[in-house]
This record gives sequence, C-alpha cells and structure tokens, in this order.
Amino acid sequence: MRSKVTYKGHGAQRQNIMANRRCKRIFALLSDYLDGELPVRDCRELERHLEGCKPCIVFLESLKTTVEACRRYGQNEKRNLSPPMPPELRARLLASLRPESIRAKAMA
Amino acid sequence: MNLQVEQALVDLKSGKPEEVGRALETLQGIVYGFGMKVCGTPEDAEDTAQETLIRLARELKEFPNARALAVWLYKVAKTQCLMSRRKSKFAPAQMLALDALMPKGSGTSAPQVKSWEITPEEIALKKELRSKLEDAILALPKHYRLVLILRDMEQLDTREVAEVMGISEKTTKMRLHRARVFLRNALEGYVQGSRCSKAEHHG
Repeated sequence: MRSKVTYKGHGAQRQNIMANRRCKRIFALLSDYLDGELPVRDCRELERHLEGCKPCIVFLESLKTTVEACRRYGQNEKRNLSPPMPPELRARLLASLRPESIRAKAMA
Repeated sequence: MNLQVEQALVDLKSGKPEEVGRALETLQGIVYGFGMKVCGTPEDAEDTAQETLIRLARELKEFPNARALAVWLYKVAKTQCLMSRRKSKFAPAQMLALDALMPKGSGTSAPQVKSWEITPEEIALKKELRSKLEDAILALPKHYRLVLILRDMEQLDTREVAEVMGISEKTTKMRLHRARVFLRNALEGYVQGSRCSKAEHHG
C-alpha cells in the first residue's frame, strides 16, 4: 500500500477554498491510490493535493487503517475452524470425487 | 489463500481418498469463513459450505488452475449466501452515494485535525471493536458487502472479484471504495469518544 505523502502546511484561506473543490475528486480516488491502482497522472495530482490538505491526509490514513483492519480480521477468521462435516456427506463427496466416478462422468 | 487453494486442487486431482478428504476440509474451511462474514450466522455459513461442496462433487468441473477453482468456489458460495436469507442479516439493497459518505466538517476555516489513532493491532485485540467491525460489515448493502469481503478479507484481486460478482472492474472499484468509506465512518463513530477525535473534513 502506498501513502507516503507528507503535509506541508496550510496556505491562506483562499487556498483552502480552492482545495475544498478538489477534495471531492480526490476523495473518490483514495482506494485506488491505496491499492496502487491509480494511473500515474491521477497519482501525481492526488499527491500534490495531499501536500496541502491535512484533512485529506488524515482521511487517507484512517481509510488505510480500516483496510488493514479488514485484512487482519480476514486472516484471523481463517484460523477459525468450521464445524466438522457430517460423516455421511463426507462419504458421499469422497465417493463422487473418486477417479472412477470422474472418468464415468466424463464418458457419460 | 491461493496457496491453500493450490494445494487443495493438487489433492483433489490426486484421486487418493486421504488427499481428497484433506482438500474437502480446506475448501470447506474457506467457504465456511466466507459464509460467516457474508451471512453472519454459523447455520447459513455451514449450509453455504455444504451446498458449495455438493455442487463441486456433482459438477466435477475441470479447473485448469487454483485461480479458476477459487473464482468458481466464491461464485457458487456467493449465490448460496444470497439464497440463505432466512437467517442472515441483510441490509436493504440500496446505493451508497459517495457525497453522503464524505465527512462534513469545518467549511473554509483551517481545520483542527488529529491523527486517527486506532491501529490494526488494537482492532485485532479489542473484542468490542471486532464486534463493531462485524456489525458494520453486516450493515453494508449486500453487493457492497460482498465486494469488500472478497477484496479486503479474502484478498482476491480486482479482476477476480469482478468475475465472482459478474460486474465490471470499474463497478467493483466503485463499490469497494464506498464500502471501505462506510466501514471507516462506522468505526470512527465508535472510537471517537475514547481514543480518537473526529477527523474534520471540509465537504
């Protein structure tokens, strides 16, 4: 995940108002940016914007943390064991997946 | 995940009962975990896993590689999850508008913001945050929820998620971003009073 932009400080209020108009566009690009799927041109525009917009940086950080939390949650969940398969279902599936069953099915 | 599916495919193709049995357990675990996240109930997750494996055995499809097997599995499991609505909590189908998700804040004044201090470690450790995350996932409209789970939790890539969902990559990305922002906003509300100040944003 990429997000190595540093905040270079706010300018005059007028600059803030100009930045506000851009925030909506930048806001829509943040996930693609985190996933490294943003075209280079948009990436440069986004990074230039972030250098002057701390709220957008903070939002990006929080979005990144949320995505990382989801990934961690997904990994933890994988360790949770599912209940054992009912024996009769397991036997049925194993019988269906025997090589001779597969060959018979392929010839049918 | 891919390593697990790769090994399962090798085991399935071996035809040896012990290895096929191991493959079934691996695939059952993957589909059960996915079903739990999507449906939120063990009963529906178990039904999803069993029905998916029954279809696998019935169709005896040829899978050229682990990717094809994974996409097929999630596609079938997704359909099963959507059918098992009797117990599952599904938020009403609705569109999430990006404008509505964008935080509103301080207008033109210089914003006073603090970092979002919660770390992934904290989220992993804190039961109540985990529970909040689960509630937020279940509050997502189903098509957003499925995309988020497939991409950020099952860790499929954009193209694979698009294939499983039967939608374009562009729509996949749009849904993913909105789902992530929805979750981010839900978690922020929870931690606001304890560790974090709300990150203000001009809207």
